[in-house]
Amino acid sequence: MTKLMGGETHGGFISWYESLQSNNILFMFKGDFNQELVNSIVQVVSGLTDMLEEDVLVKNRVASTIIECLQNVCRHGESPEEGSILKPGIILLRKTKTAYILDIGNSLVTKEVGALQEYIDRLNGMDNDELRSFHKDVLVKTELFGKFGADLGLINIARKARKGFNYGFKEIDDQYSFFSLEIEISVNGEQDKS
Amino acid sequence: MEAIILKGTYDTPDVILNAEQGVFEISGRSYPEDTAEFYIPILEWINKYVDNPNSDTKFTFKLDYFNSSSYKPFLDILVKLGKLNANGNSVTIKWYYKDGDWDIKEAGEEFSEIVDVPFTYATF
Repeated sequence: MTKLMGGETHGGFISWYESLQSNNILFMFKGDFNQELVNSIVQVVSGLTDMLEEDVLVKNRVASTIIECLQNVCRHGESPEEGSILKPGIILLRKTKTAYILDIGNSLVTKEVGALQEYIDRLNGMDNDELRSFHKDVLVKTELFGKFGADLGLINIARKARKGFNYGFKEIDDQYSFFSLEIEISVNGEQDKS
Repeated sequence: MEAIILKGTYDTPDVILNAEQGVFEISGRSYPEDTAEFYIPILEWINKYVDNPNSDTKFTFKLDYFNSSSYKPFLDILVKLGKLNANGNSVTIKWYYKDGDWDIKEAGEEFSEIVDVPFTYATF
């Protein structure tokens, strides 16, 4: 039985903690993202994967996927608050027996949803070899410091995810939507490679 | 030619470009907030170096990881260095990866398929 010392609110906190425990949440953060925060998060998560004695391939896949996703939020995220330059978002990392599962959410302008959805579906439809050659094509065609960086980023994430993305969009208001992306990184990295 | 020596930070690599001593190396992590700001001086240095190069250049990449925005400046460096071979000088890319990090190794192999420069691979 839960013994409550702080009333209902605190009881909510305890059940929330239990839910984090039962879902194997390793790390979560919700707030406004910037590069310094990305660095701190990568540092914390690298410490966790060190502690769990993951091999270098898995550790670096987790770290580089987080970097790619959060830098996308920093660059392309939009705050629904009028006039705000903040980049609100959420990151949640959990671990199952076979994989790290990374969920990233942020808001964006609804009119960008169609193109993004189309692009993700296209990547989801490709196997590893197709992703590899598509990556090379985009890399060669991309202008130096041009605007196609995000395209390359998503291809990179897709190649590390192997199983493709789960994603969702939900309209927040008439202008903005919440976008969520789920990426699974297998702990049997070497096995995937063959 | 004045050397570039940059101490790495959490998101930018160590860079040594020293023609006099024949040391050319990018190592560590590369995912700067502003990729252009970080790499433009490096690309400009390489441009000048290619006009007046050493007869033999060994350029080392030794990275823990790098983001997608770093791919293009890396490719640009490799394309510029590729001109050395065409001009009768020799250039080799020494591509290091952490033992077991096949993603970084594969990134090197992909670059080598795009540019006309010999790569050697080693672990660190």
